Amino acid sequence: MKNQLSYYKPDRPQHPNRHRSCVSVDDHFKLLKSSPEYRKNREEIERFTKEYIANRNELDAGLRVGIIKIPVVVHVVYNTAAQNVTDAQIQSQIDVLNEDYRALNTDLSSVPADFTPVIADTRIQFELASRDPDCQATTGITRTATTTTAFDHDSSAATAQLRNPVKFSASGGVDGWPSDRYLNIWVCNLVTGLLGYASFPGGPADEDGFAVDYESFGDTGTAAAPFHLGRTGTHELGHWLNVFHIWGGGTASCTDTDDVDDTPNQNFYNTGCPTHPSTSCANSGDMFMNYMDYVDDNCMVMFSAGQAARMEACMHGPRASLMASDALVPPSATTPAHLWMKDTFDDIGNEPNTESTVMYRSLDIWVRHSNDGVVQQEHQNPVYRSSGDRHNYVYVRVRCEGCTGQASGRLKLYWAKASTALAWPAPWDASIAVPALMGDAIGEQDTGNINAGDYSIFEFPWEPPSPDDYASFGADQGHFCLLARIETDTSSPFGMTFPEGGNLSQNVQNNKRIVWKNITVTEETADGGRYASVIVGNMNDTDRQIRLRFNLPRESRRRSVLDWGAVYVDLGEKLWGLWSLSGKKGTGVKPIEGTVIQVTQNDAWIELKLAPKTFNSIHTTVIPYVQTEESTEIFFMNIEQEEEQNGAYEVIGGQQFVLKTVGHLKPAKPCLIRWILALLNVLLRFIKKLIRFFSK
Amino acid sequence: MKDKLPPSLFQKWLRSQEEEKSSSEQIYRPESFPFPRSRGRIGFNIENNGHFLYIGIAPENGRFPLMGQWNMRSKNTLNVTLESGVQLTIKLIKVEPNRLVIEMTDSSTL
Repeated sequence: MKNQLSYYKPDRPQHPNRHRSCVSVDDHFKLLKSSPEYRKNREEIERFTKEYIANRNELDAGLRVGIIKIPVVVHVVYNTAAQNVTDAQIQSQIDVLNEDYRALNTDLSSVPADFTPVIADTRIQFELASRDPDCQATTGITRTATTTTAFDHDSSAATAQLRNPVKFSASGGVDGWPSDRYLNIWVCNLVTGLLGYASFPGGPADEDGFAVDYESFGDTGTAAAPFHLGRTGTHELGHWLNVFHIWGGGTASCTDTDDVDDTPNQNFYNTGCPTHPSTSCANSGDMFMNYMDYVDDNCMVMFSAGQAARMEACMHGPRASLMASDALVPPSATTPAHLWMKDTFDDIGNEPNTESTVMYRSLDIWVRHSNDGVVQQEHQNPVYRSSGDRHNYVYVRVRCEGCTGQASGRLKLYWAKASTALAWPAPWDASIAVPALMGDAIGEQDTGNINAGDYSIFEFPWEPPSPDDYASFGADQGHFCLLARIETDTSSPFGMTFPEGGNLSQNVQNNKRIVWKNITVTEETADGGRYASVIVGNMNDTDRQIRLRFNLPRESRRRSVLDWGAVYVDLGEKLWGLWSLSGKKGTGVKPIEGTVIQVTQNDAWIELKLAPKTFNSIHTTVIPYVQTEESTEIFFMNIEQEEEQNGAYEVIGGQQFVLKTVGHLKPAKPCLIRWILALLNVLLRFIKKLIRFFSK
Repeated sequence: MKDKLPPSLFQKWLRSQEEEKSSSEQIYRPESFPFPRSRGRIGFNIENNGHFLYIGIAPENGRFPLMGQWNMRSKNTLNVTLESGVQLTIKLIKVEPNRLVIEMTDSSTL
């Protein structure tokens, strides 16, 4: 068992240091005389951040499949009625954060073409808390009257209350909620010249969070131009997630750094709204439209992929506890502590799950090729090794919901050959061995006691079956599904609220102690496309009329995979024949050539009839429209199998294909051009001096 | 040379970036000036005894004070050494009681 986080020591060799070799922003922290412990924490966090990023797979750069949702509490501290901002204004700030951090903001279109390849969807979302620290229902908003007319902030002050008076009741503000479970935001009247300020991870827990002036908060009510679009909150939150100012340190300099590779070197902060290219440090243009510069709200519109990578390291390092916070789960005071796992990022533990109908992509199970999964939680396709250490590692996060006490159970983990048609208990119980073993148990562990509101991550070593065993399936030989169940009783229904039946999807939806994962990261083809395959089958003893549905959701930047490339599905001769027999019934697809169809719209489907105990592979290829200018994006293709039951079609399973693309900034100008620019700069200064001399 | 500097120089100045037209010249105003709202505003306090306080932008926003020392480099140019090790050069263009125009560079700035 591995509990939460211990700072990570990499097993693999690190990449060479790709950061600019400069004075880092952390030199500022070294100058803080007030807290040696803070300085030490900062050094440790930066070391961890660099290792985390260096150890990620190239295709994972800034592209986490899962979405992290952070519980927020907003503390309104007011001296006048106007400062007591409305619930609507608070919600407007949350909405802005959710748009900006998911690259869903409509003004994203103003990013110059030079920088569009590195626009990032951080895949972090925010929501006001539903549960307070005392396990009572809450709106996620507190309101406190104060006699303080304006709050100051002085990072160099010796005491916490002098540094952050608004964050303490004793100094006229209000105490925050536990920072390991909540993001604390204070809204108040800050002194003139201060729109907001934040805390970096590693600081004292009772000072953690950020403060925003009430006239720069949200995009309605008291928010006043030019800081009226909620971007002060976006900027401060960037610091809270360990992202530095884009220009680097506290003085104008071309030798400092923000420790991000894909933001151009920049001399100092920009204000107002410059016109691109606005150059400094011989760059091709400052990325002034970045949220971490100092421009007006209507001018800052993007994070870069490198900044998102730092946030990701932060969420898997110093702020990891927030990923398992129960603050978004409404309290159930009468229910004793009990174990559960999440089907989707927005699952709040209802039985049946009312938040989603897609049950096969739990984020509480993930596979890693090496035993680094407590920190590196990005799912990898299982890999078969014919020699040496054959182990992959499967991780399961078990949560304990409740207000007091603790709970325990028996965690059981299974694998199955990936397919859109999986039932229960076959094939997970090793009962289907033809044409090959289609599933089996991986292992089981006692969870031990887990405290209410806490969680644990369990590690299972696993040797995936040889792909050769599945040669008869054609290309889809190496993909597997995973299923985790927590039993709290040794006899049926094993502690499940709803007894398990043959429909696996229904079992998972009904019970919060069962989660399922069927996600495949697509493989890159030689021509820049992406390839994946899946098995479609009928595990029943009778014919089944099925629909294969192609769900291609819009993600960041409101784009779907159809905006990136053309989606082709090769049904193979057998399924093509069955589809033809059904009269080629379907929507949003068109035959292309041979047994290949093209999917032309979201929610497309085809209909056909499958004989009992038959399995067939389908092969999906996505060919990009443009091969040279890739953006940094993540797309999903969900292929779901629905079965006809009493005249209606019901989802029985599915597989999610993940498609990642990584864009890069154009190379910086050659050295010669940079020197010419520098020379011109010197000449310009000389000419200005001459003009001043002669004008005296 | 220190004695020839205008007495009004020795006070706390905050940058008034909204007034700046040139990319090289920086305009400063006394702290009491009615500045418009801004995300941040650097500044400095220069004393005639050689002490210098640079008011930088803190990594988490807000002020970040850095102590330093200054001395004359030439008739209108000051050298400043901050406790962080950063060396600044401040060229005085125009010194008025309510308005200061300078060029400020550090050794790394192009």
